Order: sequence, then structure tokens, then C-alpha cells
Amino acid sequence: MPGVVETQAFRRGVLPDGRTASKEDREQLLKPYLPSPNDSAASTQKLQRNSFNVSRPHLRPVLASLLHKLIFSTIQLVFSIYITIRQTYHAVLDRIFSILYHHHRTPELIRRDVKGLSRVPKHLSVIVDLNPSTSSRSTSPGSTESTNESKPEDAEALMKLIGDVAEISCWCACTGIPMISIYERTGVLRQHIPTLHRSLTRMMQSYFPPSSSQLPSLHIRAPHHPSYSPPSSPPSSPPPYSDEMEQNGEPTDPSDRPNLNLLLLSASDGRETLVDLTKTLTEMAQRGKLRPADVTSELIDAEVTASSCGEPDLLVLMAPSSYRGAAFRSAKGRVRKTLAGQIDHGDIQDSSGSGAGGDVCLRGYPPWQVRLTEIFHVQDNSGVDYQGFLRALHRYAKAEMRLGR
Amino acid sequence: MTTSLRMSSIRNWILQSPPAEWALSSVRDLLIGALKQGPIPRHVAFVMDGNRRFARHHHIETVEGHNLGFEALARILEVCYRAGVRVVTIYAFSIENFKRPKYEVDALMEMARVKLTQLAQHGELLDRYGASIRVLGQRHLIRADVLEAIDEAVNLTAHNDRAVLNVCFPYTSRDEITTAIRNTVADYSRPLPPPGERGSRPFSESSITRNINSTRLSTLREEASPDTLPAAEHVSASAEPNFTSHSTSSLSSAEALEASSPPTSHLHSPEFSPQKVSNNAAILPDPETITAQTLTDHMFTADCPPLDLLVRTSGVERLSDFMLWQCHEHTSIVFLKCLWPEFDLWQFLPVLVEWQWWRRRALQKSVVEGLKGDIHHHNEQPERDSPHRYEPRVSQPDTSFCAIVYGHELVAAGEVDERRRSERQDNAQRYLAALESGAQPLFPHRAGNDDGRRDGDGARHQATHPRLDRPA
Repeated sequence: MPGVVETQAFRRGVLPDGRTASKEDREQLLKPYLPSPNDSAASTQKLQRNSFNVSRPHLRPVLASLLHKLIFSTIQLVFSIYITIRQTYHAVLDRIFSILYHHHRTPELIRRDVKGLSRVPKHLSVIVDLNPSTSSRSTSPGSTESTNESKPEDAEALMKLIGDVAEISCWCACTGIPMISIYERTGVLRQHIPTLHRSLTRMMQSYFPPSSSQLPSLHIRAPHHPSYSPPSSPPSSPPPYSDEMEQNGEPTDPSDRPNLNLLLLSASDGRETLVDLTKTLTEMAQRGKLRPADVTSELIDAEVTASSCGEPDLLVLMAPSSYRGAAFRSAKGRVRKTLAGQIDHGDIQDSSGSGAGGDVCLRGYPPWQVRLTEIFHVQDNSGVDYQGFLRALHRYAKAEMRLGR
Repeated sequence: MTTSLRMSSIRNWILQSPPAEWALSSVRDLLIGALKQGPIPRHVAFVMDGNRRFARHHHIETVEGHNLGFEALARILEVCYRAGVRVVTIYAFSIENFKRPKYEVDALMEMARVKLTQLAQHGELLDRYGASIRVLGQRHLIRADVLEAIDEAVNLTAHNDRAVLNVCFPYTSRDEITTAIRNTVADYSRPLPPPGERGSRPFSESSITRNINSTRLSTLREEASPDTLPAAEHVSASAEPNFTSHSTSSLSSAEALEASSPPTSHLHSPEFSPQKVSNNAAILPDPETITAQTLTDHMFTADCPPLDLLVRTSGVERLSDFMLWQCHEHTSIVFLKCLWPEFDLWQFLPVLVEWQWWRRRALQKSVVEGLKGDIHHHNEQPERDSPHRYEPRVSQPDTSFCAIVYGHELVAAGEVDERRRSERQDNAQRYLAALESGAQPLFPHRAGNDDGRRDGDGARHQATHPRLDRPA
């Protein structure tokens, strides 16, 4: 990297002695900092020289590479220590936050927590993760025996996931977010929509008093699945005008209960949606119904929005970013599986693929929709919790949208 | 403000002294050399955000801020290329940026032109880094003189293949995806060249038909009984020495099958009805063959390795219409608080180290997960020394990086001999029996793990692996 004098000279186009820098001067300035003219040629030359003189020449590069290896290991070691401390710190911090801000399943408390916010997203999106040890099994085309065998653990993870989703939906209902989309990579949720609906209704009832007018009406939808809002939804007895609502400045018209739309996304709504759209467009073009020039950004946007969803305002990553727990859990699951001789290829892919780096990883989230979405993540978060949700909302309220200007 | 300015001038004075300069540059070299010992992302993208805010904070002109940003870019490019990153993609100018004040847009354009012209003057210096410049985006939105400079710089560096610098000039990712889809549609609605033009093959259809007819006649005469399954016949034909008669008869039955039912892949589209094909109408490619990989190949970044790392400075946590398609399952996205002109090795180092740390962990995990038994030489970066091959193209677009990295080893690992597998089965069975009989092994976890590790690699690659029978 060039030194300060050279940088100054380069920036102003004036040499240290006051002359204006020409092309040659600039080259002269930079020469010492450039790599040697031709690395490959140099190395072959060196090799040739080495063949004549064997004793001396290897030492320096070997020493250098040893030094580099040493530094690398040191850095990695220090970093391991650092990340352990960081994870502990964040875990403690999260604990403290979750004690300080606990919702106690009371809408009033949640509303008080978000009261000062200048704005609330219209469409919230959340990335959640099924317990990693079981997600591999549900994606991999394993035999039926293996799924039977791992049933209890699977069901447990699924119930936890459904419970988490229900909690998130309730928080959204309390903060007045009308639209929420849940991204779960494997798409198990959409196979269990009735179960999800039942547990959500139950959760809602534990948040809101059963006769409350604020009990939102629920619509669960998944792309390519029919909307699910069964008649078994809670009885909507027209409640009396409640003064509690007026206090909180909510829409006080008792006739329309707030809506809550829940959309379940999975990896197949990501790139695959665009691929499917391309296929359809191609067929139309082949039949002469469409010219390639008709394919515009607006058309694609309209189609994608209609088929899955529009742009979310805020994307919260609630999939655990910690590896330690995941690795341990999958180790447990693996032992059982290998004993039965049931490992298949999908397992390798998934175990390494569940987030091959650090904190923010979109895990195949629909690409078209995340254009201007505010992405929020809690560093080293361990799963779905209320304080993370709250911090995301606070952060979103502060974010400034410039739209390129 | 004044104190910070004075501090910076003192710091500059210290930094200017030759020993400090030398020490700093050796430390940089050392760190970069150390970084190279681990896995290095092949494709890194930067959103250079914060130039204007930096200018505002330091009370300098906006344009000056952009200039400083360009220097930060030069520094970081040097770090990247020396560490071994193959492709760097930078978000230089968004299509939305045209909404900015005109003087700023003009200044940015002017800066791009000047810098590119300078680069073009120093072509041979750029060659030392072996980097080629490419400009991604909507060319028709660029001013003519800037476009000229771009073309010159691109052409001058086109022959370099050690590294690539993608400059997203007037770019948005939605526009890129749209363009990719449009081009795919256009490609697929272009008829395939008629069979005659597809390169001359040494066989003529008429002679084949004649042969078939003659064979049919002969088979009729001989009243031979051909097998009903052509596939089975193919196998027998290749095995038997009596080659000619069998192969021709199989050909005839295959032909008959073909004639009776159109190829299944063409069924769904009325365009491909058999009459049309026989009418010598244009043969169009099958839209069902479009995959995510097809679209990836039509993106501006078609021949680049998948995006490993995306860095955005200035604390804004959005993608802002950048690399939407490319940010897929294994892209780590990093949002940094610092502004772009302040971005240097010291800010980039923690990012890289953390990336390496996670990547190494993922690799180790996958190795522990059962690959260990058969893969001895797991080089974390199998292609570090061969710049031309980015990575083997895999038909499945979403295969995890691990499968890509270990692609060739997996094949080798699949050839586990029967003896070892049965041995493992026996071990597992013994363990299970011990479990069921109630005898607790001393280290149940370890024992299971070991067993699993050795058992896994065999079973993993044998889809039709026989299931163990548990002792009843």
C-alpha cells in the first residue's frame, strides 16, 4: 500500500516537489508498491536457480510460510476465544433483556413497549429454522423407517416451531402489524397448516380475553396452497365498546376486527418461483403470445407479488446462528441414524448448509422480494424470543429510507 | 472537530516517517500472508456506502468524499487480490442513483471517466495484478464519453484471467434478474437450427430407414422373436458376439416405440405436437429444461463463482437492490458500522477472520460427520492454485458448498468395498445387541459416535444400502 506522501501526490495530481504529475510520474510513484512484474515467471526462474544451488534458497520462503501459518493459527485461536466470550456475553445480554422486557402474554405490555415507535412495518418477515438435527431428516428423501424412528424428536421440534410461530403472530397482532410472512426453509409448516391454526387460535386466546374485540381474525396462506381460514375460528361475539381500546388509540370500530395474515414461505418460493415464471413466459413466447421485450420488471413484480408476496418492510433473522448447540444436537441424532445405517446424501448437504458462515445468511430467502427490506439480526441469537422482536422493531423505526437519493 | 483534525495530522506525520511506513506495510504483508493460509472467499461483493456521510462529517465536498471512497476501494482491492479472492464485485452506481442531484451524478460520471482513463494509461501495471475489469449494468444509460472510457479499460484488461473486478455501474439487481429472464425467454423462443445445419454427421437418415426396412423384412421372413423390452435387448446386444442382427432389431423396435408415442418431455406443450415436428416447423427448446442454473447463467455474473461474502458499510442493513439473486444459501452478509472511505484492511480483517472461522467449522463438522474415514487429504481450498477453474459446475444449483468442495472425493469414497461395510454392520449390530441386553457401554456417546463415523461413509453413498435387522 502506498505511503501517505504518494497517496497525497496521487490524489492531487501534484508531486511532492510541486510539479504536476504526469503519467510517467504516477507510474514511478506506484512502482515500489506493485507486485513483482510476473509472479509465475519469477517463480520458475527461482526454481531453475534452485536446481543449481540446493542448500541455501529454500529457507526463506519456508520460514515465511511457517510464520504465516503460525499467525493464522494464532488469529484463529484468539478468534475462537473471542467468539466464545461474545456468545456468552450476548446470551447473558439476551437473558437480561428478556427479563426486563417480558410480555407476560399481555397485549397492553407489548403495546407499551412499542408505543414510542415512529413507525411499524406493514409487512414483517421472519426467518425461522426447524431444529437442525431434524430438518435434515425432513428434507432428505429418507426411507419411511427412518422417519418413523425419529418421530418423537421430529414432532417435538415441529411443535416448538409451531409454538414459536404462534408467539410471533401474537406479538404482531398486539403491535398492529397486519401482515407477517414466516420463512422456513424446508416448508414443513405448510404441511401442518390446520395444526398451526389450532395452536395459533389457542395462543391468541391466551393473549386476548375471549370476548375481546381485538382478537384478530386469522388467515393463514401459503403460495400454491388454498387460504386457510376455517369456520372453527373463535366465536366472534360482537363485543361491547371497550374503553380499554380507546386508551390505546386503536381503531375503535368494533365491527371490523383486526386482520392478521400469516404467509408461510419456504425455499421453493425463492429462486424456483422465478424459474417457474420464466418457464411460463417462455411457453407464452413460443406460442407467440408474448415478445421477449414484453418482459419487464413491472410484469415480473406483479406476477411474483400475486403468486407469493410483496416486499416485506422488515426481515428478522430468528434462526439460531449459534453452531455449538446445533452441532451437538445433530451429533445425537446422527448416532441413532448411523446405527441403523440410514445416512443419505442429503444429510451432508444439510449439515454443512444450515448456514455456512456467520450471522446474516438469507438461507435461500425469496430473492425478488428482499430488495429494500431492512434486514435485522441479533448477533449470536439463539432462537425466537420477544426481546429480539422488539429490538428489530425499534431498529426499523430508526432506519432511514433513501431510495437511491 | 478541530481536535480530531489535529490528531489526524499528527497521525499522518507519524505515518509518513519511513520506519512507521515500513513497519505498517510489513504488518500488512504478514497479515495477508497469514490470511492466505485459511479458506478464502472466492467472490466478494462490496456496497460502497457512506461516502457522502463521510464528507458531511468531515466538512468536505461530497465529490471529495467519493474520491476518498475510490482510494478506499483501491486499498481493499489490493487486499482482496493479494489474499487470493478471485472476483470482487462492487456496487458503484445504482440506476436509482440517477435521482440524485444532477451535479453529483455528473461528478460521479466524470470521476468514473477520469479513473478509468488513468487505469487505461497504466494498462501494463494492472496486468501485474492480473485483474480484468468488467462493467455490469445498463450501458444505454451511460454518457457516451464515459462509455468510451469504460470500453477502453475493459478491452485493455480483457486478457487477464487471474482475477476479476466487476463494476456494477448503472445496476439494480431487479433489472439484472429481469434481463436474465428476458434473455432466457428470447433464447428459448429461438428455434433450434434444423437438423441439417447442426453439424454434419456421417450418417444419413435415408440409409438408416432403408436399413431398418430391410431388417424388418428379414426379421419377418426369419420369424425371429425379438424381446419386448428394447432396453434389455440393448444390454444383451452389447454382451453378445452376434452383434449385427440383434442391434438392428433393437433399433427397429425402438423406432416403432418412438413412432407410436411422442417423446414424453414434449407432451405438455401443444407447440411440440408430433405433426408440427414432422411438418418441419421450427423446433423449439423445451421450457421445462429451464432451471435456476439456466437463470444463473444468464445473470451478469454468469461465469463468476457463487457469492461467498457481501460487505456493506455505513451501518445500513439492506441489500438495496444489489446481488439479490446471488445472495443465496451460503452467502454471508456483513453489515459494518464504518463508512466506506474509512474501510481498510483493519476493518476487513475481522470480517475475513470470522468468515474463515465459520467456514472452517462447517468443514470440520462435515468431516466429523462421517467423511473422515475415507477422505485423508481434505484440502480446504482445492483450487487455490488454479485460477482458471472456479469450481466444477454442478447440475443441482443448490448443492451445498461442501458437496462441491468434496465432489471428487465423494466419488472415490463411494467405492467402499463390501468387506468393510459388512464389518461395520456387524459392529453396529453388536452394539445394538449390547444396548438391548441392557449392558451399558462405558462411553455410550463416544462408542456410538465412533461407530457412526465409520459406518456413515459407507452407507452415505449407497442409496440402496440394506437396512440392518435389529435383533428381535
